[in-house]
Amino acid sequence: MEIIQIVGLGLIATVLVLVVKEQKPMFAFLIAASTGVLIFLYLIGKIGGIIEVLEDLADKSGVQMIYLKTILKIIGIAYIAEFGAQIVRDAGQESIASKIEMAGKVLIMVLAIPIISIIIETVIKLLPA
Amino acid sequence: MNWLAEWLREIIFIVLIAVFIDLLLPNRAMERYVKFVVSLLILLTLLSPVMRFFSADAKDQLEAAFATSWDGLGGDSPGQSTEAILQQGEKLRQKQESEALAWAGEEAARQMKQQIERSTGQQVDRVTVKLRTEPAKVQAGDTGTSPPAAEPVISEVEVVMAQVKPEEEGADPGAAGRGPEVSIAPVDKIKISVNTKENSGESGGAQDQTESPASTAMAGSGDDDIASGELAESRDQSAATSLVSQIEELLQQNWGVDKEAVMVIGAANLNEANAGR
Repeated sequence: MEIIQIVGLGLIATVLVLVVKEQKPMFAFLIAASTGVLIFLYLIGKIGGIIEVLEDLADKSGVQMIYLKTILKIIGIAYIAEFGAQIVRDAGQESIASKIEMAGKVLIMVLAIPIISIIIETVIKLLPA
Repeated sequence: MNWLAEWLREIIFIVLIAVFIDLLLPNRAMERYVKFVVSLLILLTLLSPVMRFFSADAKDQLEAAFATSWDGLGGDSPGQSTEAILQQGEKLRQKQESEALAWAGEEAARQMKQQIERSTGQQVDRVTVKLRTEPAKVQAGDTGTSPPAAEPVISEVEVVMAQVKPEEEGADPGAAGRGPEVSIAPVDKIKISVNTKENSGESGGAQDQTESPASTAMAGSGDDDIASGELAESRDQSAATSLVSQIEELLQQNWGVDKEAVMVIGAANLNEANAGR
């Protein structure tokens, strides 16, 4: 039933935004942003449950925890960057939103650097010099 | 076959997690990047047996790399690492300083030994110089320009005279500290301490020594440290005191040591000193 709550919250917020937008565009933006934050906070608990299950699975299956940590970092970066970018985009600042997304991508690539270096090192060792 | 099963299980779970992650992703914009990193991870897992053959420490290497990159991503504040570097530098500086201090002490002791031998004509067994940094000056330096402004101060000079054979002790009075072969015997061990604040009171005790030799008999036969500040009783008190004062003067002239601050300690005569040790 949580999806009904969330959809209801979204519908109410949409109506409010439409009503307020004519008089006070500023408040309309505030309502939209706070609705986004509320839904995000609501989902954080669920995401936490999923991550716990994942960690449990990885622990049992013997997957190195460092891999899982990397993947979780990536998800976190993606979510946070996406969320911030959308709020900024709602406010009409498309360019800032794209900068935030770019920052998220760069940070994800930074996480990939150690993996890439180790793979390349292994490949170089594989090949006869 | 155990490693094969483990390897397969690892691959399966990594792929499962990767698919799951793909579904979790919020939007298309990030997808390509996330897929790239996840596929790298899968590749790493596939390669893991090969890596085990070629480099045994691949896992540690990876963990170290991750640790550093995550620290760089904002886990630890950079100020902490700066702090650590500063602490390391301070440690190195202290080590260097103490080494320099030890070297300076050795050098000073060597020169003191030469000077004493030259001027008194006595054989000196060894000279030990203890240096310490003056605390007051360290603080003054801190408020000023640079921290390592601490000045070394000679805190203690220990002069051990070469021992003379017991039969020569009888000739001590005539020698009066001049004859090389004789008068060292009574002054078996002379400890000269240059520490104005702490030892000035004791230097008075050393000078009292000439007037009341009997009182020092017990201390002289005891441990050297206990006997500090007292001139040991000897059969030839005058020879010992003259030698001591000679050394005191020498050190005062050459090393800028205040005579008031010089503490002279002598063990008892040779036999007693040996018994004490």
